[in-house]
Amino acid sequence: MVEDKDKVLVLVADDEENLLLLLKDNLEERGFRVEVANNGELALEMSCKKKPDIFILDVEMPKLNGLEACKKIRSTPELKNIPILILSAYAQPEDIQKGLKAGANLYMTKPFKINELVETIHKILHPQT
Amino acid sequence: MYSDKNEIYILDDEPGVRQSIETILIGEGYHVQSFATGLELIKNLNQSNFTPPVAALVDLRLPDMSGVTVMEKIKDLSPQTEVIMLTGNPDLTSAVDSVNAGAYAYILKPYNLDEIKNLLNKIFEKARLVKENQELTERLKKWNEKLEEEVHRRTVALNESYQKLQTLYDMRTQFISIMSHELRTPATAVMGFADTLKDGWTRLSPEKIKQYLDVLSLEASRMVRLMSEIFEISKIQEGKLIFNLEELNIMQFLRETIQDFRNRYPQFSIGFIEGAPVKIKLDPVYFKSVLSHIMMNSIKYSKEHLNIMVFTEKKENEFIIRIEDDGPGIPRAVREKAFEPFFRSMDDVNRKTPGAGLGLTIARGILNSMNGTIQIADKCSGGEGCAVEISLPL
Repeated sequence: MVEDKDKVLVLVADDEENLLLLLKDNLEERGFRVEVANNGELALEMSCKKKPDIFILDVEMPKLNGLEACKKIRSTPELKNIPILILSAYAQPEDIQKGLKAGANLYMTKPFKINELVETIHKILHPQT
Repeated sequence: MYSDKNEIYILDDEPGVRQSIETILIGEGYHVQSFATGLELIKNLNQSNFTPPVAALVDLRLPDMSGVTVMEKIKDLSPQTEVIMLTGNPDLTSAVDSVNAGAYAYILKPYNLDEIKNLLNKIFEKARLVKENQELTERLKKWNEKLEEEVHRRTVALNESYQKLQTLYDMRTQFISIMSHELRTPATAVMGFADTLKDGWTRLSPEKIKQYLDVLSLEASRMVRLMSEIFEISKIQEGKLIFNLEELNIMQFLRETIQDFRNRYPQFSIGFIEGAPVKIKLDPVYFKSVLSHIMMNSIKYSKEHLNIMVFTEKKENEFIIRIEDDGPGIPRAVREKAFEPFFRSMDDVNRKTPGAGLGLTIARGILNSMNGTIQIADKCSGGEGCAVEISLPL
């Protein structure tokens, strides 16, 4: 049995409640710890108290959108090395460019397959394997 | 320019010659001026009302000067005037010289009058052709100018429509991009929960299965609603709405629509004071959908308790309906933007609300197609909340 504190902590920010439910249930089922926030600002506040191992950010969110949140994370010393995965319904090449430019490690478009998302998280956390 | 008078000058120092030619030419219909000396002719040329002659018959040998000198003076002032030199046999060489110097022809004395008439006919025919040519050139020039103007005008118009098309194209591209985003969002939930249910059917608790199925059903309805709203908007944009106009008693219509809402949402209070009957031609189905979009906005953006008040006012040429609520309201700065497709104000409350932000776009599209208007206004009381004002032509 893996102790809770040893599990990978994923912080998900999305303004769609059903998307948060989908990710929380599925990632927890696969052995992650999951914290959720419904906007970028809240995600940043939460991450300062409890540093996540990876961020999953939506782009279009109230208060602080995903791209702005990305930039803030990259310019905050204690957060800047945490990997970021953007998960957005904006699927144009220029949207992806914007996301990567803002500092995301990877950009995944919605809709997505849960298994692919999990694989992607593993790839970002363990790039050598 | 030549006058229409068939003006001819005769210059000869011999009165007999002068008069006989003059008489014959006047008989032929020409307008003739005779001169006895070169000076006399030159003096006439210098008069302010001088009419250039079409032709001049000039004696080569004059007492005061040579006929060539007179010709040069005439040509200086009126290059088109043709000069016929009159000369005796002994002057043949100088007559040939005069032609080389610019004379149209020379005639040897004694004159053959038919020869003179022939030459004059040719000269007048030439003058007529020159004049016609000039007129045609002038007309061509005017046509060209008109054509250039027209081309310029068309180019400007073309540029304007190109700009308009470009703006429409940009708007359309943006619309499609947001539409794709808005469809992908519920599709994500549908796909995700369908997979979750498929993979976890045996281990998931009945409560979880129920929760996921509820989400699936909700998100699938969201997709269907979004698609039908997009279809509605494209019909509006293409001007393809077909109305079945009926003469409605608007007061009765409002009362029934509001009652319908009260039944569906008993937790909200909707107030309406019915006034005297007013008849308006409207499509009841589309107009009900307008009211529904507005009231749904009030309900969607409200907290737990909400009061909606519907006011009416009959003016001279229009009927006003005001729908006011005590919800969060729409800031002045974005009131016009609220009618753009996919607009939703970006605060926490609104982001949780269902709908893609097409309601007001559709409401305005329908009303404008029925010659009405819709705008967001301040509440009469000045209090917090949203006021939507509809104006219908009477």
